[in-house]
Amino acid sequence: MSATIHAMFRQWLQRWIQARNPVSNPRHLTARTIFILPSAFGWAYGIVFVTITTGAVNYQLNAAFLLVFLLLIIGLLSMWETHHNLQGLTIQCLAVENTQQGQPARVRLLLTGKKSMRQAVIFCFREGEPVKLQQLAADGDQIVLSVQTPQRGCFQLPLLQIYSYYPLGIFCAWSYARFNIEYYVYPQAMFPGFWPATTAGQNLQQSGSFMGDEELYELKSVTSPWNQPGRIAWKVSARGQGWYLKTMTSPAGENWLFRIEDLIGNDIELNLQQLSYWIQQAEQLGHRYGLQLRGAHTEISQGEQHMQDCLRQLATY
Amino acid sequence: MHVQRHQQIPLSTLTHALLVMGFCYLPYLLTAPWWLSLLAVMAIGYRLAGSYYYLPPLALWLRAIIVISVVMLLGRQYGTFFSGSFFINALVAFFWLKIIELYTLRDLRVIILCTFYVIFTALVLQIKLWIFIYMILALMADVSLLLKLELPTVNFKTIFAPTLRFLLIAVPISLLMFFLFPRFSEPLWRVNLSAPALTGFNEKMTPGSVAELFQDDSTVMRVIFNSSILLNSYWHGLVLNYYDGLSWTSEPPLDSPLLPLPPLPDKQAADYEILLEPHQKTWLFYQGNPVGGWPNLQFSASSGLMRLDGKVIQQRFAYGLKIQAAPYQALSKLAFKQNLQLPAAANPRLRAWALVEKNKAPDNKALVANIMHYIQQQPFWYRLAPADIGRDNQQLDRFWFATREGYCEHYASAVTFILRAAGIPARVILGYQGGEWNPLARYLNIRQKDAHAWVEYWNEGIGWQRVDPTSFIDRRRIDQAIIEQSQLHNVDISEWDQYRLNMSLLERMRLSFDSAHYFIERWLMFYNQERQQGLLQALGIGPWQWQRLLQAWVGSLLLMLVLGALWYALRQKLPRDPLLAAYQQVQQELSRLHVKTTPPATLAQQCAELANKQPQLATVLHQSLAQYEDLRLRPKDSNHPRNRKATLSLFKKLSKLLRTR
Repeated sequence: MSATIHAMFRQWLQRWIQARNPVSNPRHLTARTIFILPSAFGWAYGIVFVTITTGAVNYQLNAAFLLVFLLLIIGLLSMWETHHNLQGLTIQCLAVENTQQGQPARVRLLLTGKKSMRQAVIFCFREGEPVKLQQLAADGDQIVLSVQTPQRGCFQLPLLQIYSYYPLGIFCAWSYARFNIEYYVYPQAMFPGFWPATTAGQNLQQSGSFMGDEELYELKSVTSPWNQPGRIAWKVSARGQGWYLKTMTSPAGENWLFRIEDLIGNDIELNLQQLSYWIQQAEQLGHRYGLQLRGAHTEISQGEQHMQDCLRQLATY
Repeated sequence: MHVQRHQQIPLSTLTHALLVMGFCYLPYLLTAPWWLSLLAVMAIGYRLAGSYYYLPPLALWLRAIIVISVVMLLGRQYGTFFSGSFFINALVAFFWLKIIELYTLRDLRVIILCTFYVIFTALVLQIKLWIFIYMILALMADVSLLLKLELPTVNFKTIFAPTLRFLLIAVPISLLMFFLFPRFSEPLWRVNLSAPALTGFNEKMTPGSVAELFQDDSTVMRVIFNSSILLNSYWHGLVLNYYDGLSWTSEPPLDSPLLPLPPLPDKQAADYEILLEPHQKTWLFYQGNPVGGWPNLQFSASSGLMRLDGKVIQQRFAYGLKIQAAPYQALSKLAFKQNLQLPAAANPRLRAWALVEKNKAPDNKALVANIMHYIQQQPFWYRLAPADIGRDNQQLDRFWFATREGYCEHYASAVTFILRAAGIPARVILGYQGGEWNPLARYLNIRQKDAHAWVEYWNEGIGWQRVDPTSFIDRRRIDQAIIEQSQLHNVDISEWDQYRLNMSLLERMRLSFDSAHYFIERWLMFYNQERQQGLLQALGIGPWQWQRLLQAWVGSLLLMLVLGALWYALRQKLPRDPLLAAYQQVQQELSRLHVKTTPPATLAQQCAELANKQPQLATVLHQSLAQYEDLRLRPKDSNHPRNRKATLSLFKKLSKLLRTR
C-alpha cells in the first residue's frame, strides 16, 4: 500500500518537474524552475540556531540575542543569494560530439548570465562527473561536460542538473535542463587482424601487411597535416621541407565495402567493433569505403561526414 | 545532488580556517586554563606540519589517549565532570582536538558549526562590551570561511567584499530585531557558569583594605539625578559597628530593624536612580535618608539598604530612591551600648588619651571639634602607602602617636575608637565619596577608587552625625596622587562651561568615551524588559505585553521576508531596456489592432499592413517609419544616447496614437 503511494508520489513529482522543465535549447532559468532547500549543512546550521536561541532566551543574554538574530539574517540572506545566483542563467547546448564507446561524450555548453557575476555553479549530467565553475562572467562562458558511454547506441542527452551552494553552503538551489539532442556512441575500434576483400574484384593482396611498408606510399605536400595525423610522413617532414602526408600508391584499388558477414565469429558486438576499426582506419588512410548492414549499403565515399554516417549505423545496429 | 563532502582541504583553505578558529578562541585566553591554549597551539602546529610534510594521520589509540587525558585534565582542573566551566572548556578542547583529524571539507563544516557554539559560550563567559565587537568579527570570519569553501581558489579580496556586504545588511536588521524581541523580567533558568572575581570592599575593614581599591578604576555605580544634583556626597554602603582590636565588622544592629521601603508611584518620583554593577554583596548604596524607592527594597539607618528579598547583587541592578530629612528618633539603650563596644585590652594609650580629651571638652560637639583640630595641627599624613602599624591590638596606638600616617580607614578607625572610648556612640561607615560627573551624559560615575571610610557619632537630640577625619588633614600633608584624584571631584556644575574650556583634549575624549560606553552598555549589554518598555513608550506605542510584542515581532519578521524576496525579484527585473519596453508597447498595440506581431514581421511590414487596414493612418505611419529608419537604421552611431532618446519618444508617440484607435 505504502509502496504504491510512494510510487504514485514519485510519478507525480516526476511529472511536476517535467512540466516545469520543458525541453528547450537554450534553457533559461527563472524563479519558476529553480528549486531551493537547505543543504545538509544548512539543516545542521538550523539545529545550531535553535539551540543557541534557546540558550539566549533562557539566559536573557543580550549579546547572544544579537548573535541569534545575526545568524538568522545571514541564513536568510544566503537563501536569497543562492537563489539569485542561478536565476537568469541561460544554458545553451552547442554541440555533442559522437564518441567511441567507453570514452566520455563531450557536451559543449554556452552559459550566459544576464547580469552580475555568478559564482560556484555546478553542472552535472545524471550519473556524470560534476563540473564546478567558480566564476562565470556576465558576458558568458563555455564549458565542456562529459557523459559516460558504457553502451553503444543513440542516446538523448540526459537530464542536466545545475546547482549551487554559493554563497554559504547553507542552501542548495538547483534546476534542471532537458535538451532534445541526440548523440551516438559507436563501438570501440578493434582490429580483427585482417582486411576484407576490396569491392569489384580489385583485391588488395597485401592488405594485411601494407601497414608498415613505407615504399608503397606517395608523398603529398600539405600546409597543415593535423587533420590526418596518422598519415604524416614523419621521416620526410623531419628533414624540414614542410609537411608531407602519405597517400596510397594506387588510388584505383581501394574501394572498400565493409560487411559484417566478412568477419568471423558470432559475437555481434565484437564484429561491430571490428567494423568500426576498418571504417576509422580506412578514413584515416584516405580510402574510399562503404558499409553494408542488413542488406542495405551506403555509397562508397570518404570524408568526415561519411565516416560519421557509417559509425552511426554501427551505433544503432 | 552531488555533495563534495569527501574532498580534501586545500592548504589555503586550511590556513584560513585555522586563522578563523584562532580568532574565535581569543576570549578564552582570559578564562581557559593555560594548558588549553598550549593544546591549541600544538594542534595548529601539528595540523600545519601534517599538511606541509604529508604526515600520516595519528593512530586511533594515540588519539584516544589524547582525548582521555584532556578529559581527565579538565576534570582535575575543575574538580568535577558536571560543571558549566568543565563543559565549556571541554567544548573548546574538542574544538581544537578536532583539527588533528581534519581531513575533508565535511570535517571543516563540523568545525564551523562548533565555532558558533564557541562564540556563544564566549558571550556567556564575558559580559563585557568588547564581546560585541568580537562576536561580529568572529561571525564575519566564519562567513568568510564559508565563502572560501565555495570559492577555494579566489583571492581574499573577492571573498572580503561579499562578507562585508552580508554584515552590513545583517547588523542593522539584527539590531532592530534585537530591540523589539520581547524580554522577560526573569530568566527561565540561570546557571552561574563562573562567579566573577569579588570587587569592592567586603564586610571587614582592616588598615589598608580601602587603600588597595585606590588603583581600581572600574565603575561601581552610576547615578542619575532626577532633582538636584549632589556631587561630593557620601554614599553609604555598610555600617561597621564591631571592633575586635584588629578590624571592624558589622553586627546585626539592636535597634531599627530593616523595614520595607514604601514603593514609589512611578520611577520619576525618585530623587536619584542608581545603576549598580554586580558586586556579589547584599548591600546597596544610598545617600541621605531614603523614604521610598523602587523596586522592592528594605532599609534601616543602622543596617543600610538592601533588596527586599535580601538577594546578593549578581547582575547589574537598578534602583531609585526618594530622600527626605530623617525625623529624630532616640537611640535605644541596647543600641547605645552596642555602639560603645570596644575590646578591653586594645590600644591602652589611645584610650587614656581619649579620656583626657573628654575631660578637656565641655560637650560632645566640642570634643569632636578638638579631635579634628588635633588632626589638623599635628603632623598627620594622608598616605596611600602608610608605614606599617602592625597586626596586633595596639595598632591604633602606634598610628596615633608614632607613625601618624594612614589612609581613610586608619583615621576612621582611630576616631571611632577615641569617640567610643570617650563614651560617645560611634560607628564606621564604608561607602564611596565623590565620583566623577559626566556632563555629556549627565550622570555621576562612581568608581572603586572613590571608596571611602568615615565616622558617624551619636549626637543626643540631633541623631547620627557624620564626621570625616581625613577632610581635616592639612593639604600639605596629603599624597599628591590623592590630591589629583580629588581635584576632578571638586568641580562645581555651574562652572562646567568654564571647566570644559580648561579641560585637556585627552580629558574630554575620555569623558566622551565614557559616555558612549555607558550609552552602549545601557542599550546593548543590559537592555532589558524595563528599558524595552521605556523604548516602546518613547516611540509612542505604549506598554505592551510580551505576547503581543512577540506577535508583532513575528509579523515584522514575515514582512521582512516578503520585502526581501520582493527586493531580490526586483533586482532580477531591473536591468530592462526602456527602449525595448517601449517597442513592446507598440507591438502590443499593433496586436490589439490585429496586426501580426510574430517574429518574421518587421516594423515596416506591420506599418504597411496597418496602413492598408486604416488608410487614414497611412501618412502618420509612413512618417514615423521614415523617422525610425533615420534614427535607428541609417546612422552608424544608432546607439548614441541622443538617438535612443529620440527613438524612445517616437515609440511612445506611436503607441499613444495607436491606443486611440
